[in-house]
Amino acid sequence: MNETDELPLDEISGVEERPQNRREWRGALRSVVLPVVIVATIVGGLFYIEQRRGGTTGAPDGIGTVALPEGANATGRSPSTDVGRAAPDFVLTTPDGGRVRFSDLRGQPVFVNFWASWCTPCRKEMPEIVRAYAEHRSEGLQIVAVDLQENGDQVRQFAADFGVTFPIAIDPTGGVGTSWRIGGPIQGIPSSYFVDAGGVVRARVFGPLTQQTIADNLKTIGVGT
Amino acid sequence: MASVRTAPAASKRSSFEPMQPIWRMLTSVRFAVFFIGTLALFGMLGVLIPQVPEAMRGNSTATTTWVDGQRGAFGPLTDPMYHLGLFEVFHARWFLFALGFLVVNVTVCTFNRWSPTFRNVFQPNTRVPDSFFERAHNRAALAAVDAPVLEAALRKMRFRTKTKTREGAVYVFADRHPWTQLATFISHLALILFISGGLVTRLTGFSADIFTGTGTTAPVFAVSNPNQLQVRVDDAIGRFSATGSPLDFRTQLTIFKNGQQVASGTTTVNDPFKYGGYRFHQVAYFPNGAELSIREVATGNTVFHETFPLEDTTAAPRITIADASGAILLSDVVAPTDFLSIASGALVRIPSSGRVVWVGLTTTDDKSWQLVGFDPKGNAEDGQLRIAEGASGALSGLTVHFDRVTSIPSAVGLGVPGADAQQLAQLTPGPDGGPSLMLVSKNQPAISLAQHSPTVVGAYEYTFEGQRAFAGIAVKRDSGAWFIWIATAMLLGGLAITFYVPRRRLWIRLTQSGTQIAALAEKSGGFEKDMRSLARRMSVPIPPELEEER
Repeated sequence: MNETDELPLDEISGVEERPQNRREWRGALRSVVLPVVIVATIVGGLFYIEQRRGGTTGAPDGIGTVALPEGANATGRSPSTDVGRAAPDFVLTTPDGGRVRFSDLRGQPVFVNFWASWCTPCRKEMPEIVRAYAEHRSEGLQIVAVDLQENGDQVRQFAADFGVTFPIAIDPTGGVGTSWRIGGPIQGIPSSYFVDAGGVVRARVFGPLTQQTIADNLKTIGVGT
Repeated sequence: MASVRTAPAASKRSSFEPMQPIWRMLTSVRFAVFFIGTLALFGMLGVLIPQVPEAMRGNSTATTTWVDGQRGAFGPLTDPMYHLGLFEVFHARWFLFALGFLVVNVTVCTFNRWSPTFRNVFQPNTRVPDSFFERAHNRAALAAVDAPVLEAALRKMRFRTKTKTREGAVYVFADRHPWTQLATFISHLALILFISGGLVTRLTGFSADIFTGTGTTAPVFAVSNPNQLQVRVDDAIGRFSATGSPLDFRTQLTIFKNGQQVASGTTTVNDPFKYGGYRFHQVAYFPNGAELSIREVATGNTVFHETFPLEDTTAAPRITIADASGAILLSDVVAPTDFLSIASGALVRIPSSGRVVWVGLTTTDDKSWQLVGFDPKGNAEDGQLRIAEGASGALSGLTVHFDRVTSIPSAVGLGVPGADAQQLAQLTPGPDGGPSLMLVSKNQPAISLAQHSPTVVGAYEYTFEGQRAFAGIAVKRDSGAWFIWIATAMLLGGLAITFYVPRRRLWIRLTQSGTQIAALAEKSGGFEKDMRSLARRMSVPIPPELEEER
């Protein structure tokens, strides 16, 4: 089928003076779908190029959220940061270039704290976490402070100033933070998770901790009881 | 018979095109004009009806409060208007959908005019009836010439020619700049990009405000984000004239992406720093910040390290104290440490005399300032003072002059360990001319900290690291900006081609009696000019009707 409008022809010559004023039906695919696809491709291409500006700095290989080792999940359900579920595993680097794997701490109660040096409440609660570690270290308490996407030098300086002796891990892309559900209007930073020796999340706190809330939540993982 | 009956029915079914009515609508110029008019009307609504301020968008509590404030103007219509998105027209889904539909409309409308135009450009109609030479809107008659002479002249005028002989006459079709008829598509594509750019900006544009002190870092996105950037203010600089007018604000920045330093540079008010499609605009400068660190003496660990702005002010008197001989003993601002119901002031130790007096400010019933003084060791007669601004008085043999009231930068409630919630920090001029920080808490002695001088008070060591200026940085990313720039270039290019490089088609009949030339009434003036040029190139007389008007 080839339907066209009345031709805007010159009356005598029969020549089209303004052919661009005439529309021509060439089937649904060529008349509707194809133009939309072409323009969508152009617009999408420009958008993609624009979004790629500045490049990306991804995490090194093997860094980020990883699968729990076989047999490490006794809950029978997929890892999650919900209370009663196995905490997701991750491998991250320390400011000194070492590596921390969360599941390597299995067998000990672990307090995971997500923070950043630019975060005022994180700075305010850090001395309390340092004190709690000094107090309960002998009970086997492990603390991992996961810094979100900061520079190693900044983190190292912060740790030295605040007397942090427990491992600090840097989440370079925020991927681990996302898998631990950091983000959104409520679950910002600081956020803290209390994981028992079996790797199961027993408590979590969104927002700054105090000496009392730390003590209360450590009890859920058998520390300070 | 059956096959005869079914064949047309099958044919009819196969010709049914459900997309055709949509196509008719999308390719209708009338519909496009109507739709653009409707969008313009919606846009007018967005201009005429108050819109939720940008800073409140996304905050449901703030938005609800703002909408409640509109009830006075819109009464019972307020809630329906809010639910229809009339208070957020340019962010409403229906408006964005309408813009997207307009893109599809213009796209389909434009592309369905491609084939006829393409054929007209690359397979033009070279033959016209002879009557056209008698009645065409643009026509001319020149003296007879040979076809090669005509073709050579036309080629020099950048025409391409096709020549045919029939019925004793030579017919020449000449075409110049046929491709320019495609320029209209460039302009239409520009329109599509304009609208797409607006949509992309609306859907993905990003804006965030950062207010951070020198030496500190702030994130661009809330919490974790794959595109997270951190901005460190290395130096915030404000230059002012002698009269205090601002001359220049600039900030030296370092940008980190996912923990790696990726850029460093300077932003000013008029020249934003750019990185990765983000623009960092200097929007504010605040000189009165302070960096304070506090260590626990027992462990040596930092328990507080903040750079904070002192955005409030405290009234403080500048005084001059002289002895009986007129020698000036003290000329300074007295930062208040005692906030009493009758006055706010502080004990002042007078150098070279070993004496201590209490000096403070109070107000009178007419709200003017007064300086009050008290000598704890003085007598009742001259051990007290109360003078107005600019006046002098005697206090236990000293002459006290109340120079003026000044404002001291201050902040309340820093969260310093061991301090009350209402602790006051004041940035005051120190004795050495440099700034000093004074921490004032209820029922505790004030702590005065000179710059870089650690001071141990109780279980903590306080260090005032120095005064720190703050910079306000607006971070913006307009993903649609590319589209707009490209669209602008395309639109200008398309319009320039359409208006300044017009297509010219000539149909020419050569006979022994003369040369007949006809052209369409295309949007290209200058037919007569072309004919005069052609006549000159062929060395034939220019007919009177083509003579240039003088």
